[in-house]
Amino acid sequence: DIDVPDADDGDAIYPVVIAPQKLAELFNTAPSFAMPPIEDMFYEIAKMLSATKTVVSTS
Amino acid sequence: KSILDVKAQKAAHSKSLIFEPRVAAVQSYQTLYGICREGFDELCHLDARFVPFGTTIFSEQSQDEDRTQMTASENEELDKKIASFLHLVGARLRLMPAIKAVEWLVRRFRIHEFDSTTLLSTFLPYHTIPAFVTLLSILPSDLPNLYIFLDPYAKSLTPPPRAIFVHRAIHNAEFLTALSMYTLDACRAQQHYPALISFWAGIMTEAVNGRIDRMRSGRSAVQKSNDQSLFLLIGPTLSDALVMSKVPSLQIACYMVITVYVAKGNLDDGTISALMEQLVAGWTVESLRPGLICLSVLAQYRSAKQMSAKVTKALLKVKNLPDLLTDIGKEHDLGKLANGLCLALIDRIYKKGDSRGLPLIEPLLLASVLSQQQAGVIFKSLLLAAYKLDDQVDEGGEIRKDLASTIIRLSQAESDIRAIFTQAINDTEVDLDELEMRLDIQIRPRLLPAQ
Repeated sequence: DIDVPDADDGDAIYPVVIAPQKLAELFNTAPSFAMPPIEDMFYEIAKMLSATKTVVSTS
Repeated sequence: KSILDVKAQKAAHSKSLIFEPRVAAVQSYQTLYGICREGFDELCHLDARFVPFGTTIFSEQSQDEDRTQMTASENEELDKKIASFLHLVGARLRLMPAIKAVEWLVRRFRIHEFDSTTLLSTFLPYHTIPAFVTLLSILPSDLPNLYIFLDPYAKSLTPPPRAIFVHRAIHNAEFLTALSMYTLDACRAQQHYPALISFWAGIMTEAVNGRIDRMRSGRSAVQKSNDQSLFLLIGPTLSDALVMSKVPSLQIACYMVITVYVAKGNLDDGTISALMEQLVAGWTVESLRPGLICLSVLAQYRSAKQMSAKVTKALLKVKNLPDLLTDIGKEHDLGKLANGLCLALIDRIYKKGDSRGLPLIEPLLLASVLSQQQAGVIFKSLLLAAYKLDDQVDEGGEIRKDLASTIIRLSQAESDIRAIFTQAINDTEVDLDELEMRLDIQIRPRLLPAQ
């Protein structure tokens, strides 16, 4: 049987650092009843994490 | 003694969300009912779901109902109706008619004393507005246990900042659970509203982040037990919420929590896989796009490469998946998700003779969703699948033909993918003669015209 060789595709899992202040800033922008749609909030969080990942992988 | 009783009664009657105590103290129930019922009727115009309460807690007869004269079971029944009404009115608390209606329940049924926990929970998303401080001002001095941390704000009559709730949610499991239960109950009853979901999502996300930071331990046994206790605390809520297809906004809120949880929580593969499966089991058209992004984050933190059968099946059902993934891939790293999906689809081809995945693999390879290395591996897997396919799963040879045309098309693609494909053939120790014979196609001449 022939196995597919693994590619070294940057699979290492890095721990992510999320500063509590960054999250707090995001959620404190407005009272709950005036917040942007939840979907936009989710994208902000997702972006925040991918930004962190880039910083880690280039360091 | 009777003078004291009268005084106490007057003081109790003066607790109001709208009126000054001295004004409230002398109001008759009849006057009050007139004012509050007006508010209630306006609510009914806004949302017909309020109407049934018009024959119970807002009925003419309610003017004469004194809960201290009711039996325990009657009181219990009343509390249920009040809770149900409060859940529904939560969405409208910035409107005067809603405050007028709640005023009736305060004045007639003393919900600030008897139902103070539910009442406070209902007002939480509005903790910044004056009505919240007014509510604090009429609560009994001994706050319910769950909200004892609001005591300084009740005493000083200042609105509590959001950070107080976050801090409590990090340090007090009971509060976090109660907030989740309140929110999920409202969602189940279709009484949710954006501010409630946003409030819960924000507190929950920050609580998870804060709890993970707080529970870091250098000793692995301690860390393991901490991880376990966090999972026990939030796992059931997430499982319940993820499959609430009728409330996509709650699902998206969960994706937010999960994204932070998985990125920081050092979860084991089993937990991540379970979350992935729950996610795809519940997603809907509305939650699909954020769901895919969340799924890709989960995939990034899982060591297993291939998507599980359940996740693969769910992805196969998504309409226009390649277009959707290509679009999302412009902003988010979908590499591991797309890679894991392609691997699973190729597996299905040669193990089960299921080639439904082929039309997905091709555009995914041509789009820039996969990294070059990932694309290389997928190419190799495709070649190997072609090599491994036999009559047992592909009796008529149809799948081999499909696979052949896919490989041909890819090999002719006008992009740098072609170079990767050439490299893949060179790297793979597949007997190409045999492969060509099996697929009844010619690969090498097209690929290597120079030779």
